[in-house]
Amino acid sequence: MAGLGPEPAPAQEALGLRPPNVCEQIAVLARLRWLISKNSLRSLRGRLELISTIVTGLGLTIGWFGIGAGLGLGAYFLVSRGHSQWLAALFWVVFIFWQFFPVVTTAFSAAFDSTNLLRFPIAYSSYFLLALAYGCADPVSVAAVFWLLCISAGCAAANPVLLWAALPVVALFAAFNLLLGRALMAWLDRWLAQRRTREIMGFLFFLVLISFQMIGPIIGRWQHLSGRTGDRIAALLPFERALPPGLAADALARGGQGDAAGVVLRCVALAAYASLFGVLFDRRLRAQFRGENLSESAAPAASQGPRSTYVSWRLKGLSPPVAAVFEKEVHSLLRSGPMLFTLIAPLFVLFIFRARFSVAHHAAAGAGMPFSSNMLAFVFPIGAAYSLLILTNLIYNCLGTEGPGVQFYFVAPIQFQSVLLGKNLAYCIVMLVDVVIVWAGVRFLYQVPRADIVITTLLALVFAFQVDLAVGNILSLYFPKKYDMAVFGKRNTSQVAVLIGLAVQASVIGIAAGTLFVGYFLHRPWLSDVILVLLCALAFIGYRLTLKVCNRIASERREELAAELCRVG
Amino acid sequence: MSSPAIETQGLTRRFGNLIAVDGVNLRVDSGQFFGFLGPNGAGKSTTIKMLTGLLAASEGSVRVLGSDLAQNPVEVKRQIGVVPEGLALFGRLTAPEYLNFVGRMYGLDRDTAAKRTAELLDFMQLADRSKTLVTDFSHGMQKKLAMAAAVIHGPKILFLDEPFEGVDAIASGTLKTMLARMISHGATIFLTSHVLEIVERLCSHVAIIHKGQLVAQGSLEELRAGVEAREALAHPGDGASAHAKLTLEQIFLETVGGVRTGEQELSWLG
Repeated sequence: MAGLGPEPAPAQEALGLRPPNVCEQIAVLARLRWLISKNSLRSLRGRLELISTIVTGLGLTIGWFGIGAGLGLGAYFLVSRGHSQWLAALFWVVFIFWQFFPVVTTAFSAAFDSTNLLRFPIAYSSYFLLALAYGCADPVSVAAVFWLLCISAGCAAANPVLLWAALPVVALFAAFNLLLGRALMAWLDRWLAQRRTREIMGFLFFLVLISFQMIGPIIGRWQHLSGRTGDRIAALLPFERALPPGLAADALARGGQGDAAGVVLRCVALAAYASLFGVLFDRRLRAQFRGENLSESAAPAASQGPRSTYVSWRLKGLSPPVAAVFEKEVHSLLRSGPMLFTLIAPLFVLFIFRARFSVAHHAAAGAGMPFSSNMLAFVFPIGAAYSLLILTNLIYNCLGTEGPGVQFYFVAPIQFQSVLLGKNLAYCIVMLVDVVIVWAGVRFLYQVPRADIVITTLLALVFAFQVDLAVGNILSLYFPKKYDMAVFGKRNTSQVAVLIGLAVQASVIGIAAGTLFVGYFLHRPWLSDVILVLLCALAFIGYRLTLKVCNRIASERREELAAELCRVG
Repeated sequence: MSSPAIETQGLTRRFGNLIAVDGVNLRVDSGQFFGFLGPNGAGKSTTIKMLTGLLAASEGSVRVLGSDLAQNPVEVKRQIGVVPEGLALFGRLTAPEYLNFVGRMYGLDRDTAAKRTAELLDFMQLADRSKTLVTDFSHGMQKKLAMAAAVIHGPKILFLDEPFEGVDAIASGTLKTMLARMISHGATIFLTSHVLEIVERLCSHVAIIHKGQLVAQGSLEELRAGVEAREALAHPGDGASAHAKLTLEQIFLETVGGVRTGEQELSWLG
């Protein structure tokens, strides 16, 4: 039978195949990113994005250089004056920035889903390293590592002997932060992917918020029990030194004293922290690597309960298309964990203020000084303004969540302004709910906000909101960016839209501040409200006009919109 | 002669220097089950996008049920249903929510939209998945849902871009049943597909586009006769084609000239 069977497959080596090398794969991925960036320059929009990225990048780089210089100088002075133990404050700054900045401003986070790599023949170790490599390439990580190097340089300048300790300490602290950040993002994505875990997350989130309330009473109680501020802080230091920023600072302080064993011990502790989060990150990636399925479609049909006819909401006064888009938008928002998190974020600000005021109040009481409550008057405006700021993320890319669904708007017998109007109305409701929550928060955490301040704030908010909606609708059509509402850290906003949005926010704040100043300067506070009412009317007219313009823009840009939002990957 | 359901005159679409669709004159009469075929990159999807308002034509006109699409887009869209390439679903809605949404966008009142939604979900065997988000549907279920959405307002013309791609035999059967019902109620169906067996079985009329130009149009019998006549002219002594009826695949390959000789080799496959 020889010669009748299939010919043996040629050896892998003969076909030019060999085990993939992780360094080559990282290089290939870097080249892929480069090619994508280069090819995006073929369109005008791509070139505008690049210019905006350069402008934003320059601004951030200057700012981050400034912070780096400040941290370096801070480290220099602390070490040279023998206060090495206070270096912990600098490490805490880096830690907080590294861990919280990407979550708060998802626009800057890498929009890369490492699970896309799983279709390639990569070993798990390569997959882990590739996922980690993307974390290293994040601008936030780059800035934070730069700051750590500045701190090291500051320490070494003050005491050259410290350099031998600073480098490993900083390297371990960076590794810890990197692994913690990647693990956090990976686990957040996991928890928010399914309804049950999402609900548990929501519950925990509210527990954290409520726990903020305890800070004031705890501080009061603690002050009663202990003595001066310095003593109180000293009492906290042992706990703080057990945490990574404290460990890093303590290691440097020991290094300054020539205590090599102390440095090594703290480095081991830092490495243990890094390993802990490395293990957690590893567990998540291993599950991905095995091919986990987080889809909820596997739920048995029988569990879906009796069949019932779903009827759309009755929304009087709205045309059917506007009502339909409004209802759809509300459903989508309510099902997005990250979106809900974003929308209740203003509460965070209130609780943090609450904690700050408690500390300030007790400090003033401790020093026998009266506590000025003038700042309390600004809590409601600040909370309301923060609500608007958070919402602009959504307003300025309001089509980003539609994906391929955007095509439907162009085959349906409607004017595109109906789509935008429906979406805008949904955002109005969200804004309204947010303002009510902020008002209630201020009412229960502080005091009833003054009526005149509430009125002025609401007028300014209505004005600013209408301007944001008008600009946001146009930017959404010109610079759409697809994003998944259900996944943390993969949202992306056009850099052009970010820059224009910043300019609009600055202008609106400037106009509102100018209006308040006029009232204050002329000793007629009501005048500010009158001017704001006029501005609101003007903004409304402008908003209506832009809605009509959007019909034309949408028709002209339907191909670009579909191309961007239907894009795979 | 009644006005055609779809009629294009010199329909052209350019992308920079590339002419994707080049002066296409298409005519589809009411009640026809029309298959629009072509090799990859021939201009099928670009044409269907221009016919449904997803893409603007560089030149030429599109008339649907007598109305000019560019002049009366809303009026035209009211009478057509579309299942586009990407299905145009909204993943964060459930199927009943999505169908109600689509119904309302086409101007149905709440009760009618709800009633038709329930019927469509039953027909498409999706009723027991009424609480699952669309994003968690399988591809076949998404196709069925997109089809249900395209017909909820009772369109006179249905445009389908690759409706049977990635669909299993069961879902495919459901879709075909629905299409047959629509045809029996006087609707016109315009579909593109690479599955030529399905087109041959379902469609009464076919057009073939190649390199942006319409190279054949007519009933299946007319196309078959045309190819046979050409073959008879090319090979006068060969009577083989008279014995076996040409399949649509053979007609298609003869028309676009895409027969691979098999002489080319891939170096690493030997």
